[in-house]
Amino acid sequence: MDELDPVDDAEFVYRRIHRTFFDKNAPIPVQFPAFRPNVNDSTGLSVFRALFVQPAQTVANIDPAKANEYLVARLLVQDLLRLGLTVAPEPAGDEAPGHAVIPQLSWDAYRADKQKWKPILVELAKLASKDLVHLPA
Amino acid sequence: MTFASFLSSAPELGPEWLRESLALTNGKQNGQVSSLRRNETENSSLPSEPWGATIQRIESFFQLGDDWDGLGAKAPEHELLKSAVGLAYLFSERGVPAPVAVVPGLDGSVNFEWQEPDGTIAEVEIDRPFHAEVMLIEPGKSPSFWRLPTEAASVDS
Repeated sequence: MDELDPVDDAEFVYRRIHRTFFDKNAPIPVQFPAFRPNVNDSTGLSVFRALFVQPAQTVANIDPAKANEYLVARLLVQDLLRLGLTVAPEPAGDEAPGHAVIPQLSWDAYRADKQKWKPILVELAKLASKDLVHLPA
Repeated sequence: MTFASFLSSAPELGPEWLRESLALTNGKQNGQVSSLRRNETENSSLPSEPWGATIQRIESFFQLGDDWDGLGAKAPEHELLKSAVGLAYLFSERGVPAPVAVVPGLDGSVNFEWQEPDGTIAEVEIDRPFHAEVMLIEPGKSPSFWRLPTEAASVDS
């Protein structure tokens, strides 16, 4: 299988979450700003296809001192589709294998209609909170 | 008082927010701002818990530099942090429950988040000095959004 192949509904993707956005005692432990795009997300919000990478590998390209600050959540593509989101393959040389993006959550798209997307980010945080597959070392 | 009832009945919030923020004094350690208090005594006017902890958490964001997450996140600016602390003082005085989380955004913002037992979720996103976007999601209702402060308030007032 090739990284450029279309993403199947039954696939899982991983999302890196900085520990700043995690509180194990909160009703929803992952805070939804973890899914808010920033100016670097020009083509969409970064995720990694589980078919091509292990959770811990998704932080391999980050400064080692900071990589240990990350959790990784697993999301089912089908759940994303229900939220009106898709996943597009976007392999990148400076990222781990299986890099992909959620194009609906590019920086420009998000800024153009925050009121539409913020409640979706909350739903992503709820999904992520239920399936954390990698915790900081 | 709930978060929602406070904000929906606070047209005067802007000027008070400004007043609270401007009254803050920088505390410094090693030449860098490390705290914001109402007077020069480091801990004399910190609100009781849990708002006190919330304010100290915001103050910890002074230590963040750009790329604090290793993926290009922007650090919050001093004036924005001052606004966030001022708003926290105001909320605490008004009896608003403390947020379950206060986090720096990846875009240089500061975000207060409330999660209530009935499923209500609220956020105040301070996205620039003395300006915030509010979202309230209540079960069974459409999400509502508004901005703080009201149009009548201004940083120059």
